[in-house]
Amino acid sequence: MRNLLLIFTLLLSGLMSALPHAEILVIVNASNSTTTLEHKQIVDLFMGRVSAFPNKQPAQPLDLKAGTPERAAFYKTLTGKSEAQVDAYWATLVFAGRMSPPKQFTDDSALIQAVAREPAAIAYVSRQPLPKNVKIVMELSAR
Amino acid sequence: MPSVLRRYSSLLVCVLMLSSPTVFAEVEHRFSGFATLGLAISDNPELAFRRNVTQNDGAYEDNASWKNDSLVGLQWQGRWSPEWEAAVQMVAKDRFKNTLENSIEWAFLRYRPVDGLDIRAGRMGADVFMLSEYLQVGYTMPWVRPPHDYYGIASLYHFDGADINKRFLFGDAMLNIKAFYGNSGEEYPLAINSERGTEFDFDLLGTGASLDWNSWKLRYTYAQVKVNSDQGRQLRNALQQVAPLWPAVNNLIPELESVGKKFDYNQFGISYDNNIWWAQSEFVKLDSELALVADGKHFYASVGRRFDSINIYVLGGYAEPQSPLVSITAPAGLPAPLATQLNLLASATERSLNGVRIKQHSYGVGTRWDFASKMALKFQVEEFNIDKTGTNLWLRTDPTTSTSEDQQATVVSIALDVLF
Repeated sequence: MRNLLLIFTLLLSGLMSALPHAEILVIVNASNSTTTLEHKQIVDLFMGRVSAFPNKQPAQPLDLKAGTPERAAFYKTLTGKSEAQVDAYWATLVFAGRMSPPKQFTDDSALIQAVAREPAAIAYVSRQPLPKNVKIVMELSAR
Repeated sequence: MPSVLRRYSSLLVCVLMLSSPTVFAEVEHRFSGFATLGLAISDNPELAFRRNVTQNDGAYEDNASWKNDSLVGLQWQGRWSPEWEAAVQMVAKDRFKNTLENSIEWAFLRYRPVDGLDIRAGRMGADVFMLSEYLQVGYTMPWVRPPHDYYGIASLYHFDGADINKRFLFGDAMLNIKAFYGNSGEEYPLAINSERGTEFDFDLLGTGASLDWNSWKLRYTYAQVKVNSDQGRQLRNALQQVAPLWPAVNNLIPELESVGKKFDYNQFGISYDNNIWWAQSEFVKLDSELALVADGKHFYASVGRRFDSINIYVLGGYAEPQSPLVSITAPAGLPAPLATQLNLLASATERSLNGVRIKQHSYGVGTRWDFASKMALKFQVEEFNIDKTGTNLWLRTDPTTSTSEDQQATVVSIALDVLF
C-alpha cells in the first residue's frame, strides 16, 4: 500500500512539473483606488469571505466558467483546492443564501470587458496585453 | 408568534420579492440549483432506516428506498446593490406533509450595511449544527447524507424570523458571531406510512460563534426552543380521568404538558482540512423539559483522505439518552376490568415516554468520486447497532408491536449529487 502511494505521488508530481508554468494576472477596473492586493486578500475575495476591497469599496469577483482549465489552475494556485472542492465550498455559501455566486464568463476577453465596465469587479486572466481601463493588482504563477 | 402569522409572514416575503424588481431599478438575477438521486438499502426487517425523524417511510429488508435522500432544489438570488440582496429556495422532495408552503426553504431579504455585517429577515436556515444551512445539498459534503446518529434529530430546516451575523478578521483567522430568533413548525409522523402526525409549533432563539483559522474550523452554538403547541393532551385527559383511583398520575400529568416548555442545544463542532486529509466531528447535548422530546447526547466523527478526484473516508457516531427509562405501574388491588384498563393505560404512557428515546451507535466507510464538473458519485456502507430502548430514529415496520431485542442494521447507500 505504502509503495503504491509512493508511486502515485511520484507520478502526480511528475505530471505537475511537466505542465507549463502559466502566469495569472488578477485585474480590477482602472478607476479602482486599490493598487496591489496580497495573496490572502485575493483568497478572501474569491472564497466569499469578504465582499469589499481593503479600502472598503464593494467588490464583485468574476469567474471563468466551471470546467475550464484556467479556472482550476487559478483556484489550485490560490488555495490549494481542486475545482470540485472550490465548487463544494461555494455551494455552502450560495445555498445557505449567504453569498450570491460569482458571475461566470466563457473566456478571458469576456472577463476583461466585464472588468472594464464594472468599477467593483475583480477577475483573473492569463498573462496578456491588457487594455488601459483595467489594471493588475497581483500576479500569480501557477504550476 | 402563532403559526398563522408565520405562514402570513413567509408569504409576504415572497410577494415582496416577486414585486421588488419593479420597485428597484436594476436587479441582478442569479439562478442555481442542486439535486440528489439517492438509494438506501437496509437489511433489518424490523426497523426502517430514514434520513431523519420527519420522514414516514424508509428502507428495510428487501425494500430499497430512493425517497429518503432524493431531492431537487432551486434557488433564486436577486441583488439590487452591495447592501440589498434577496433569496428564495424551493426544495422538492418526499415530505410527510408536502405543501407549497413547506417547499419554501428560504425566502429572505439580506441587508449588509457594511462588509462583514449581515442582517436578514424572512424565512432562513436555522444555523444550529455545522451542516444546518446546507443540510440538503449533498454536493457540499463527503458523505451520502449528514451522519445519522447526529443529524437524524435535525428536522429543523428553517424558521421565520431574523438573524444577525458579524464577521471579525484577525490576521489569518476569521471569527463569525451570530444570533437568531424566530418561529417554526414541523409535523412528525407517528408510524411508518401513517398519515397521522404530531404537530409542533415553536419559537427558536440562538447564538453562536465560529472560528476559521487556516485548515481549522471551530464552532459553538447555543439554541433554545420554546414549544407553543399542546402535545399529549389525549394521554393527559385519559390519566386525569383515572386520577381518583390512581393518585400517582397527578405528578405525571404536569410532566406531560408541553405548552411553554423548553429544550435547548449546546453544540460543538471542529473540522480540519489540509486539502489532502480532512476530519470533522460534532457533539451536541440536548436538554429538555418536555417528556415528549428526548434529551440526549449525539456525536459523530469522520476522517478522510483525497486521492485526486477520489475521496475515501471512515465515519462513526453515537446517540445516547440522558434520562433513565421510565417505568409506570398501575395500582394493584383493583377489580379485574378496571385493573386491565389501568394496566393498558400505564403501558401506553410508558410507551409514549420511552418511545422518544434514541440510543444507537454506528460506524462505516465510504467514498466520493468527483467524476465530472459539479457532479459527484458516492457509495457508503454503515453498520448500526440500535438499542431496543432507543429506536426513535427508525420506524417500526410493524407499528403494533414493540422492539424486544437490540437491533443491527447494515445500510448501503448510493447517491449522485449535482449542482447546476
